[in-house]
Order: sequence, then C-alpha cells, then structure tokens
Amino acid sequence: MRSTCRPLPCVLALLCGSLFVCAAQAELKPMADSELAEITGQALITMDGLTYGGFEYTRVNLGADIDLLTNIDELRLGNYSRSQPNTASNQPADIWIDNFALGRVDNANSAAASVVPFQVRDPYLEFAFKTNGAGVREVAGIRLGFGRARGDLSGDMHSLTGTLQGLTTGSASTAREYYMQQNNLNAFTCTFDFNCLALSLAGNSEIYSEVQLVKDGTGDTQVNGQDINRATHIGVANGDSFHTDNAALEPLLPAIASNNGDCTASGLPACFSLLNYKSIFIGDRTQADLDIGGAQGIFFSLQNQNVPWQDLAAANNQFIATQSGAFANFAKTGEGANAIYPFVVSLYEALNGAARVPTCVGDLSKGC
Amino acid sequence: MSLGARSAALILLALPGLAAAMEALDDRELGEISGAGVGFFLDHFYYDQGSASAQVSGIKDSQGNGLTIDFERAYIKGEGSQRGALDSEAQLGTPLHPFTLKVVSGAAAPTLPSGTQALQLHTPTWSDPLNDTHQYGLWSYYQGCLYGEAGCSDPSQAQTAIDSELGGLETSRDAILARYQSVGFLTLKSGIDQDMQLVAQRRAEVAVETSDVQGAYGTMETRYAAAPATADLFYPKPDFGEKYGCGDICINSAARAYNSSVDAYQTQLDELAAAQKALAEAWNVERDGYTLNQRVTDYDEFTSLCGTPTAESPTCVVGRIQKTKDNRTTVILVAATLQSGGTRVKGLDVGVEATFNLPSVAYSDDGNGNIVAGATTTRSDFFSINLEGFTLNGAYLNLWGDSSGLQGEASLQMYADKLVIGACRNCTDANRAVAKNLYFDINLGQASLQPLTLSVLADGELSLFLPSVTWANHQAFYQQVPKSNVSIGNLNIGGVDLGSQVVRGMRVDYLNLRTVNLPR
Repeated sequence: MRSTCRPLPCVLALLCGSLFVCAAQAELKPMADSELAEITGQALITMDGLTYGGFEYTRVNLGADIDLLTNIDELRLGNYSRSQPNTASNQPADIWIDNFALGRVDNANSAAASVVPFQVRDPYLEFAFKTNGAGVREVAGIRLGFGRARGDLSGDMHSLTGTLQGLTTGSASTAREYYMQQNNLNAFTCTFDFNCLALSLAGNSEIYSEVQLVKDGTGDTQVNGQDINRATHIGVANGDSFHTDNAALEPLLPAIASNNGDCTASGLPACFSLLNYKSIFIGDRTQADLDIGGAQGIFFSLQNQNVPWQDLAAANNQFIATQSGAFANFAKTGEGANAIYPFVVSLYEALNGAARVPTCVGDLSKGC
Repeated sequence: MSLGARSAALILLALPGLAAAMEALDDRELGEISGAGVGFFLDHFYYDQGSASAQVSGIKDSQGNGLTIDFERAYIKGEGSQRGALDSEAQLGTPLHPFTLKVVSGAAAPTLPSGTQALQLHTPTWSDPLNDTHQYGLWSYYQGCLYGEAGCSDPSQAQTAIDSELGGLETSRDAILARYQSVGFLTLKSGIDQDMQLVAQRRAEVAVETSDVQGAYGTMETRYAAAPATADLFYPKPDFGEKYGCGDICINSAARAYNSSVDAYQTQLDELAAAQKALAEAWNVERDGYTLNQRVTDYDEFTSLCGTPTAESPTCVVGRIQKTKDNRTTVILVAATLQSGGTRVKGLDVGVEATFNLPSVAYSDDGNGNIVAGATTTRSDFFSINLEGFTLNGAYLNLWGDSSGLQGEASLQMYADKLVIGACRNCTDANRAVAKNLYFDINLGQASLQPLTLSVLADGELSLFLPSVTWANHQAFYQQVPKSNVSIGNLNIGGVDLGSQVVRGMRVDYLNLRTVNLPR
C-alpha cells in the first residue's frame, strides 16, 4: 500500500522540521510497513457534488472542530438598494448585525472570568451553478455553512433575511400576569376582560409557539407569495397561535391567542423587535455534547436568484428555498414533537426581550 | 510552461542599510553586515502554465469516491494582463520596497516578548495612502465601485458613504446623551450596578431551576421506560408526559412512580416559570423612568460608541465614533491623493482554470412531495478564479518556538481590484461572480498577549490555538491585539448586484481549532 500524506499536515510538519527554533517533541523514527499499512484514505477536505432543480452544486467540506469566542463590530451582508413589496423594512442591508459575538464570558467582570466558547463542527463552502437559457453555465450563489453549531450568539440585529425559527414556551399564568401588567388590571378587573379571563382559565398550563421572522405590524412572513426580506421583527406569524399540550385548552387557544394580522395574540404582543433579542442560544442548551446538542443546517449564503440549498439537517433530502441577496438560515430541524429549534426562549424572554450575555472580559458587555 | 524572458530575481543583503537603489558595497560596508536577513524582489517576470498540464487526485467525496482536478491554466502576470491573455511583466517588490526574510527582535518586532527572536517574512512596506493596503482597502470599501471604471471617476464618493455612517452613529449617541443628561452617566452606571446584583442572584436561581427541570425530565424518562403497558388491568400506558388514569392510587408501583414523576416534573416547570418571572421582574426594575434592561442597553451602546464614561457628562474620544472619524480622515486622504492624480504601484494578475471531475448525486422530486436521491454520475465542471490588481503590501509572518511548539503571529494585508469566479469558458463577467475592491485585513495572534500556536497532534491532526483573553490581561488585550476586517466594495453574481459585504472589527478572543479526518 502506498503511503499518503495530506498536504497541510505535511507542510506544517516540514515547517516544524526545518525551523531551528522548533522544539523537538519526540524522536523521529521510521514507520514500519505494518504501521504504514494502517494509513487510511481519510482526508481533511472532501468535496461533494449534487444536482437539483436545474442547479449544480459543489461543496468543499473541512473536517474540523472549532471552539471560539469572537467579537465583531459589524456584520453587513447584501448592502444594496432594495424596494420590493416583500421588503419588510427600510434597512440598508439584507443582514446587518452590530456587536456580533459568538460565545460568552461567565463572571465577566471578576477575576473568575471564564470563556464559554461557541462550538462549530465541519464548516463547508459551497457553490451553486445554473445553466441559463443561452446554454451558459453561470455562478448562481455561494454559501458558508456549519455541520453543527452550539453556543451563544449575540448582537444588535438591525435586519435579517432568511430563516430564524425559535420556540417560545412558558406558563399561561406568565402570559396572564404580563397581560395584567400591560393593561393595568388586577385580579378582580381581570375577570371582566375576555383575554385575561381566558388566560386565567388556562392556569399554569404550558403554552408555546413557534416564532419566526415577521413583518412588523402584521406578523406576515410573506407578501404577495414571496418570503419577506430585511425583517426587523420576530414573532408569532399572522394566522398562527400559541399551542398547548393540554387537550382541553388546545381548542381554545387559537381563539384567544392567535395573531390575526395585528401582531397581538390574546392581547399580548406577538411580534418583537429583533433588537430585543440581544443573545440567543444556538442548539440545545441542555446537551453539551455537540453531536446531540449542536444545531444543524446553519448557513449564510449569497445568491442572485431563488437558489434551493440542500438542508444538511434534514434526513429526508430537503432543500431550503432562498431568495436573491444575502440569506441566513437558522431553521428548526424535524417536525412536531421531534422538532429541534436553533433557539428556545422562555415566554418571559419573548415578552421582555433576551438580555445580552457578556462577551467581553471586564465591565464592557460588548464592543471590546 | 513559460517564464518571462527578462525575469530576474535579486537578493538584497544587509537590510538595515538599505535606503536607496542598489549600489556596490565596499569592504568597510560589507564588514558591517550583520547577516540578519535577506531582502528580495522579482522584477520583469511572468509565469504562464501554457500547454503544460497538472492533475490533483486523491481527494474524495463524502462517500469515498475519488475525484480529480485538472489544472488547465495558471498564470502570474503584471496588472493589466487581461486575465493572462497578455504577457504583462509583473513585479514583486522593488529595491526600495523588497520582501524581507530575517531574524527580528526588539523594535523590529515590538510585540515579541523581551528576549525572544523570531523569523520574520515581511512583504513590501509602503506608507503612502495609495499603496498602504490598510488605507487603500478602507477607502475602497466605502467607494464601492472600482475607481477608474465607467461611472466611477469620483473618489470622494467614499467620503459621502462614511459621512452617512458617521452621522448615524452620532445620532444614536446624541439620543442616549439626551436621555440621561439629567441623570449623569456615572450615576446611571452606579444604578445599573446596584440593580444588576438582583439580576445575578435571580439568574443563579433560574440556572438551579433549569437544572432541576432537566433532572426531573430525566427521572420521568427513566420511569416511563420502566412503566408497564397496562396498569392495574384497566389503564393503558399514556403518552410520555401524560399520567396513567389511576393517578396517585395506582397499585402498580412502576405506574405510580411514573405518575409521581410527571407531577414532580410539572412542579419543577412551575418553579422554573416562577424563577424566570422573577428574573424578568429584576430586568424591569425602573430608575429615572427607564427599566434596567433599557438602561443597560443604552449604557452598553454608549460605551461601544464612545468608550467607557468617566464623567457624568462624558466625552466621546474613543469607541466606534472616534474610530469612524479616524477612518474618515484616511478615506479623505486617499480620495484627495487620487483626485490629485496619484496612482498605485501596479499589482499582480493571478489566475487558475481547472476542470473538476467529481461524482454528483442527482436529487429530484418524486411527484409525491418527496425529494429523492437518484443516480450518481461523474460531472465535469469548469472552474476559474482570477485576481486582478492583487497586492500584499504590509503583510508579515513572525515565527518562533518555545516549549509550546511552533508559535507565531500573522497579519495578512491583501487587496485586489477584482476577484472573478467563473464556471464557463466562453462567457462574460455577467455570467460570473465578480467581487470588486476586495480587502482582507486578517490578523491572527499577538506575540505577547495571544501567540498563535501551530502544532501537529499525536494523531496527526493539525491544531491552531489562540489563548483566551483573561482577567489579568484584558485591558492590554483589547488595546493591543489587532482586529481583522474583510470587505467587498460590490459583489455581482451573474449580473445581479448584491452590494457591499463587510465583516468589520473582528477579534478572535479565543480559538481552538483541531482538524478531523473526513468522513468522521
């Protein structure tokens, strides 16, 4: 069997060997034939090709486990003039996040400060090509994705285009108290308010809802059949409602907790400014093992048309529809009880906003 | 393969004395040579692969199928070569601005720890605004279009863009200043610190309750697995999370234990909800008419814009606003230099064209709403990458070693007028991806505070490690460890403009990268 040497390790090994300053870690010994025979054909980099819907794709996969803490002043993608009916705001870019950070710092402003890194596994770079009507094969898009990712993602999200699906969950009593607070009700006057009374009847039942990027004021996720872009809000989509596993209460919830196009559900706000979500947790907070707790299918892409990118989180060969411009995908994986959301926030966080976790050591919360 | 006929490579010795064009050294001058390093430049050269061929094999797809890459063309030529069509002569460095390779310490590498020497590779250094990569790259992002092309003759377009950005930042600052003018920023911070004590306490309570919920969930899972299909003859096993109909009086102990765990789980959920509610209330504590959440948001935003306030009425002399003002000065300087007729030293044109022969899986809709994988065939894809006006001025790599292994710090300063990625042989840029005004300012490691450690692990994998910022060094770290920037003035894919793209002010505060063989 012929021995193989992967290029990058070889270069580094040679570099180490040639530099007089490089400390010797072990004595070099020739490898026996039996050892050489154990060398497999595995590689740091693999490439995959696929076709779908008239598109050809080439993906370059990098085998790597990456732990990092990073702070970025500004991330702005797709910064160009855009004024389509489905453009949900007048923000200047498809994706615009200030003070973007991956990872967090616990006990940030003390000598016990410790970094809790963001974990990334197997990043990849992919190109999409399409042959146009004149028979010319064109570049259609490019995306950067991650096999798995887990950790705190922070930022001042001014604008997002793409998919950001989360789950908000909490007790109906939480919603009731918030409703009473917002409407200056007490336990007595609550009984004369339909929404408040309905929430009272729900008691401590757990209620939950999927939240996604929506148009402020309506909760629309589409306009004229086209997905919105440059969203500034996230929330319960127009027509969707809170749900519960309480069989008796579930039929009632759509009546009392639906967003009917005014960004409220049961009198509660159902659409929230993305700026209020200063930190979200990507992946399963309770599962430290990246294989189990890491969110799959996360990517950023740039394309000139509605390129369907393969959903690497889906076991059933799904493709994710994107639109021309910059696109970020933080989608749930699976359906129903098996759905795993990129982030889960308590109802309190949904109603009050999620505070930023420290991402700097010292008294700076951000901007370091 | 051809190499330019007048190609020449010159090596300059005795770098410390290099201050003018090349002249012969006399014996006395030669005696002063320290042997500290070499300088070199390449003049009047070009490279063209011509009809030679090269193939890379051994790369595989995720299923282990092999693929090959046939390099059909590669070239390095001078700027203006029309993507290699013309044999324009290239220049890498000049006698006054050479590449250097030398051992450095002290003032030559001020970030190195005292007493440490490093092997340094440094690309040509220019300080004028058009050839210093940082200054020109910064201006090019704000300019957006490629200067000199049709419709891009006014270099002050960049100033308009940065003025607009600065105006937005100052508006945000003024709004926060006005909001807390009567309070004072030191008082604001004092109030935040007091109120955050309650938040910290309640965060800890939420963490405890979250852990309790996880524990209760685990118990419920275990007991559900052990619970019978039918309890007490009449009660079928419920869905997970629901209880047997016999409730608390089940005779079957496993069913009773499971029912009990459901109650316990619900209790823990209620306690978690109560803890979350208490935490939310802590964030909603008001002072001076604003919730703690709002005050923290405003204070953090102001600090990001202007630096940490040191007075009730703070100044704004550091932070993003000052940084943007500094950048504005640079942008104006570059624009003025261009307006006065200044030109850049020409860069390189670099290109590669290849054919990828790779296995490709055909996915299609099966007509029932499912997408299915079909046959695997071999695709033969043409792929090209061309860089125009490519420069590397001001980049360096310092390498040294200690007991940790090979260590280093690197600064990549790269600019290119265009990066063109194509998938067609006979086509135009309207069919390709074209990134104009491409600027990479990538800084990895800082010798004293965050040395980059490169190593090969025992299993043969590579490791790249940057130690994290610490409590002990955080102030110096944030002042001295350089940030990175990547920007594109305009990206056009297949004739569609997608505008500028930027990752600005990125600092890696901690990195631990280990390569892994694929497939896992």
